This record gives sequence, structure tokens and C-alpha cells, in this order.
Amino acid sequence: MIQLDAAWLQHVSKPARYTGGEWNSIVKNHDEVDVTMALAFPDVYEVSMSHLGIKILYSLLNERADVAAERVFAPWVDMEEEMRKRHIPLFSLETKTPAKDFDLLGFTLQYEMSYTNILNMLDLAGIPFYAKDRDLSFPLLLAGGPCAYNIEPIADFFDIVSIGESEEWLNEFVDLYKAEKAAGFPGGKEAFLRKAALIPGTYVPALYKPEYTAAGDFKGMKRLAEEAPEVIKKRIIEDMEHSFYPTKPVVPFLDVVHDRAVLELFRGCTRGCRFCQAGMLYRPVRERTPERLVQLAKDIIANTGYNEISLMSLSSADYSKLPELVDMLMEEFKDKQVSVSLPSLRIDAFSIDIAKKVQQVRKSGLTFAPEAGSQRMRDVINKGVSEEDLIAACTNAFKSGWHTVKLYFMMGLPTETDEDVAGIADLAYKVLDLHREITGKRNGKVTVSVSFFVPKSHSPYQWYGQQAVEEIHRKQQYLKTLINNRNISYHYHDGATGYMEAVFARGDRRLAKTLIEAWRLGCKFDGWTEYFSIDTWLEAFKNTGIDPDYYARRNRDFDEPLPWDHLDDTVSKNYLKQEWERAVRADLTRDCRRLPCNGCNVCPELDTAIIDYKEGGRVEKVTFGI
Amino acid sequence: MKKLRLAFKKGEQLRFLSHLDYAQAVERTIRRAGIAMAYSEGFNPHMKISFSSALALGITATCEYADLDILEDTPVDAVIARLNRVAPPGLEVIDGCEMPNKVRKMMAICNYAVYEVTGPVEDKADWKSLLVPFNEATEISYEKVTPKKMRLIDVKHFVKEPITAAVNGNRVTLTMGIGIYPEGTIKPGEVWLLGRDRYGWPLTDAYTIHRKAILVEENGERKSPLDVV
Repeated sequence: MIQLDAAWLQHVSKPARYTGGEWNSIVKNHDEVDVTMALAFPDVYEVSMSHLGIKILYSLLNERADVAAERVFAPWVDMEEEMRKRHIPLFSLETKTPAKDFDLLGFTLQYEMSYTNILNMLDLAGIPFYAKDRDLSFPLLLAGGPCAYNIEPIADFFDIVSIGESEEWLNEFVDLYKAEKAAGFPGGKEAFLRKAALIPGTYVPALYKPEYTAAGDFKGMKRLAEEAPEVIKKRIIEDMEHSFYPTKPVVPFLDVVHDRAVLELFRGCTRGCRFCQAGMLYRPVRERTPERLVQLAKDIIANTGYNEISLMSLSSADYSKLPELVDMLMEEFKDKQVSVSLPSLRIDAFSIDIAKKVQQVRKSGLTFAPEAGSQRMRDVINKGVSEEDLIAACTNAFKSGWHTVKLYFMMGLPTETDEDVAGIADLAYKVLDLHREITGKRNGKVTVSVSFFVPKSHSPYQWYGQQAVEEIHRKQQYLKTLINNRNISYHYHDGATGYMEAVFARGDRRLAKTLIEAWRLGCKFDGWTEYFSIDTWLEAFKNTGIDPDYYARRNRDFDEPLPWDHLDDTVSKNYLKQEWERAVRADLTRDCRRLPCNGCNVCPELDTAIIDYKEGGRVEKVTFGI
Repeated sequence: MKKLRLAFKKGEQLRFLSHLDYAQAVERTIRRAGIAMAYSEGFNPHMKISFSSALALGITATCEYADLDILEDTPVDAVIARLNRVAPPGLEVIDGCEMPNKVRKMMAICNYAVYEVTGPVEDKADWKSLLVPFNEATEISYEKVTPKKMRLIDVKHFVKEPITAAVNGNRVTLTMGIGIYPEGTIKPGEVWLLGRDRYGWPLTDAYTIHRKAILVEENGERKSPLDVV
């Protein structure tokens, strides 16, 4: 157990990040359990504690009497400095146990720019980076989360990767680990990894070897063991209604990013926005009933003392019973000073009616994501939202007393022209004019926030070469010249971060050495503007002889083998190809939630179905004749 | 509606909570206990609770007082029991009493605090004689530095009683009573460093602070906020 002396700890920023002891945190005696697991998030406490996935797995594992699960987060730079100076290794919050002493150390991969933090945490823990350099005296390194679908750039560091939703998978894996541990791991680490590979949804990177052509292009994965499946198909929780959901989440002492009760309404989204990787990865849509959700909400509020509930999903306004649910929650909590918040709104008048209900007193700002400025561009990405929708939503909002609207856009989308970029400014002005027209006042505020599009694996844009950073910077400046109004504020991101993200989002195993080099040169907390340094990154690429443009900027061939082909979210490649072609023609693809199936392949492949509680909604399984 | 005055412990586990974090932990404990509280009116209703001081990050306390306006008619002991069932480690309600509905804000009446500052000692020292020059001085001028400005204060105006020392192995605990007046106060850590720099106390800048008591001094008498009516 690590001892932290208050005499020095009080001098680092926010020491409570490192001391644990929060309400609902679970401290077990490691001698009384069979398996210990550290759940790691490669970012600072406030970000890590806002992540739903860790909350679910933490509670799920700790429900088991034979498992102790604890949290391990990245120390902020000042704390890291103290730890290195004092030879304190990375430790868990619950029992201050060194990360190295756990049986299992699992990282969640939420965004590519957190990869250097993983290396930094391993280094602080005294754990060798490469899986091949670790015997069973080290914890097994696990990974999961959306970036696991293309974990290749960091695959060599991990022993076991969970593909898809891991609630059921993790229990199965821990059962196997427990049995093998009790038996003394006959056959050693390799034998264990081979057995683990037989659990559906398990990717064991060591059992695959990438092969490259003479020209240096990825050619395919060679399987090194019989147990290693050709493709690793994702796992899903079919029955969300009865699946485990944590009602005793840890209540942080510090103000974390999302410091409220979280209610997950459903998984999946079938809007089919073509830039969106999550929309593909989490299919199909599976809802919980409002009755179950209200019960969960009651339990969470009673167990935490939170005074706010956030209704979470990829697109919460698409929940089929949203008005009913909101009414039920308002009724349940009306005398208890509990408010309800909706983090994602659809752009339509209906959403505003719901927002009105949940924000009866305080009208904080409204956020919409048209994503693109022109109708043509929005059709290309299959956003399925028109200017009329936005105007209708804003009309309703301004009539109801809102004055501030935030609009999210992307730049650098396929087929984008300057005209599409100019459309962003047009839209902002239209919304501002609308405010004046409706309210007769000049106090309307529009915030335009523009990000740089990063093509992701498993999406219809996985073949698309990202636009050059210089081109994005030019477009950002061009848009700036079009916005000259003090009631419109314009924010944009540094293009270089998006460029690096694009490299790792579609990279292969050859990038591992570049990542290590970048870390060695000092890269960490790359998701934090103040720590990201493109010059250091470019130096790392140069030192390792890798051209970042090869990964980020190159248009890939449709028949080119892709480094993530074996990591299967069950959306067929053909479907993605078809979506790409429709994108270029600006053809829309309907939402299969209530309209006929588009043939993405997910439901029949997983033998499952959309679960949607709207009257006449689809609940039966779809089958294809092949 | 009735007003309760409760004494909370801020234990070691909560040392690094800022006052706002600590207040939030108390509020969430109250909500978990299901105690029907009064809330302020307005756009953003707040629980009606007020604390005796803003205890800084890094300081633990034997007791910190808070006044709560509650809507239910429950005896103090029952409220305390309910709170302690759902309080995080380090937070504990140790005492309490019912108060008349109109009371002066504790922040305004709590004007004396006793601190224990503990840290390693550099060598064997005769603390009795080391403390004499400080304790017997009639005036000690000190430049108090705040983020905004610097001003000259008389330390003895705030630290009127002799500081005492208790040595435990290679650590010393200095107990000091400090006045909290409308014109300001001095932090216990400032007294510690002043002693080191000006009076040769063999101390380092590694120290921890515990507040043993916060009291109401009136007419030469010191009382617990629970005994003030």
C-alpha cells in the first residue's frame, strides 16, 4: 500500500484526485478475493470519473464477492512529477495498491489522443510496454471501448482486447482467469491467451501477425494459433431492459466534468450519419422501458444524493418514449429538487418542447449540431436535417425565452467546397436574425463551434483521405472573414490535433514505435491543448521513419485490405461502400429504426433485433435470405 | 420548519476537500439521508444550510458547525443517526442541538479558532525556551502577502495566547489559538513559517494543520457555537 504524506500532497493541485474514499467507492481486502482488477482511464480524475463505461464495469465486477475492482487514473503533471521524485508508482484509488500488483489492468480506449497517457501510466507503474516483454508476474493488460475496434497502433501493448459491449464478456473472462489462476496457469501465459481467445469477442493481438507487401502496404493478418478466430465479432447486450446497470455509482468529492446521475436510455443509433463511427459500432438500437428507467433513477438518486439526472444516449431525443419518461421523472422528483437534463437535442420543434419541460426555470443555452453549413453537405453526411428544421427549432426556442444557441459544425468533410463552408456563416446569421425578428431584441447570441473532421475506421468514410491541415487552416480563416458580428462567436480547433488523431484512428501496428518515441520526447495529455505539441509529434514520426500522411491523408482503395478488417462490428464492408457511393451523390439513407431495413447486416449477423417501444415500433428479428 | 445546529467532523479522508467540495459532500449526505430541507426561492434553489467557516483545502477539523433549516419535525438525535448512516468516511455528525429560528450567522460570531500544526523537527530542541521570545513579545509585525496585495499586521493581535509545543518522536505539534476578526486573521501555516524564519524554530515547510476548535468569544468567555443561544 502506497502512503501519501499530506505534508507534500497538499501542494499539488486538487489532491482529492488521488485520495479516493468517495461515497459508494468499494474497498475490499485483496486477500479475500480471487481476482483483482484495476480499471484504468488514461486521463485526469475529472474526465475519468465522468465516463459511464467505467461506472458500469466497476459496479458489475464489485458485485462479485470473488473480485475486487479498483480505479486507476492518470495523475496530472504536477502529481506525476512528485510521484517520480518520490519513487511512488501508479496506484489505485481504493486501496492505494500499485497498479503492477493487480491481476488484471484494463484500459478504456475512448479517444486516440489518450494513447501517450497509457504509455506514461505504464511507465509510472513500472510495467513494460510490449506484451511480449511481460510474463505472468505482471498484470494482464486488457483494453476495450470504441477505439478497440482499431486498436492496431497500440495492439502490441495489450494482452487481451474486448470487442464490443463488455458486461457479459468481462464476467466470462474473469471466470476463466479465476479458474486458470487457481490451477496455477498450466502452460503459462501463452496457453492462457489461447484459451481466452475462445471466448467470443476476444482479440488476442499476440495470436496475429500483420503482413505487408514489398511496397509496405498492409496485406492481411496471419493467424498464429488455431484458437484465434479469423474475425472477432463484437459482443452486444441484447436485452438492455434486464441488463446490469449501476445504481450505486461512486459520488466524487470534486467537481467532475459530468457530475450528475446518468440514465442510459438506450444503446445504438440508426440515424446513419456517415461521419459517425459510434453510429455504426453500437448498432442496433436497444431501448429500456420508461418504467425501468424511472426505477433506476429513483435508486440512483437515493443512493447518491445527486440533484440532477442526465438522460444519456447517442441521441437521447430519439428515445421512443421520451415525453412519457420526462413526465414520469418530473412527477417522481417534483418535490425533491431534482432536475432532468438532456445532453443531446435533435434539431426539431419537438425537442424544444421537451427541453422546455426539463428546463422550466433556468434557460441555459441550447446546443444543436447541424454538422454542416449547406444542405448539400448535410445530405452528403446523411445528417437528415434541413434548414427549415433548424429554423423551426430556433423559432420555438426563441418564443419560449431562450436567447443563446450554440451550433456545432465540422470542416473537412468529403466533397466540401468553400460554398459549403460559407453556409456555416449563413446559418449563424439566419439564426441571429430570427432571434431579432421574434423577440425584437438584439441580445441574441449564437456560438459557432467548428471541428476538423477525422475519418474513422468502420464508418463509410474509412477510405477517405483527410484534408491537409493547411487547407483546414485556410478554410477556418475564410470562415472568420465571413463572421463579423459581435453577437456571433466563432470557435475552431487547432487542425494539427485532428491530423494526429486521423493517423492513429486508421493506423497499423507499425505506429507503436512512433507512439513510444513521441512519449519519450515528452508527449502526454495530447487531448489538452496546452500539452499538445505538433512539432514533437512530427519529430517522433521523423525519428521512426514513418510518414503520417500515409495513414491520415491517403485515399484508400475499396479492395485494399484494412488493418482493422478482422475487428468486426458486423456492419458489412459492402454496406459501408454503398454508403460512400450514396454520400458522393448526396443521396439520403433512411433511419431503419422505424422504416424498412437498409441491409447493414448487423441484426441478422448477431441474430438480434432493434428494440423500440414506440407503438408499431420494430421488436421482432429481421432475417435475410442470402 | 426548524433550525438545527450540527457539529460535523472533517476527518483525515476529507482533508483535501475545498470548502465548496466539503459543503457539497454535506449536502449530498443530507439528500441521501432523505431529510426534508428548506430551499431558497428563485431560479436556482439552494439548500438552506450555512457553515461556521470556510475550512481550507488541506485542513482537517474536530468539528465544523452548520445550521440547517429542516421542514420535518424530527428530533436532533434521529437526524444525526440518519446522516451518519449515509456519510462518507471522514464525515461524521458528532453533536447537535435545536436552535431558535432567528440566529446570528455563525460566520459572524465564530471569532476564535484553535489549531494544531504538526511537522517534522530538524533536531532536538528545547521547545519551552524556543517559544518564549514569541510568546512574550508584545508586538510582532508581519508582512501578510495575499494574491492581491501586501499589508503589515501585528501577529500578536491575532495570537494572544502562548503557543504550546508537544513533541512526539521526531515530530512536533504546535497548538495555537488564533482570533478571526472583521479586520482579518493570520493563517496557522503563516505562524509556523514565521517562527521558523524569525525565531529559529527548527521546522520545515512540511506540516499539516488540524483545527481543534472554533469558538465564539464574547465578554472574555469562549463558548462552543452549540452553547450560544
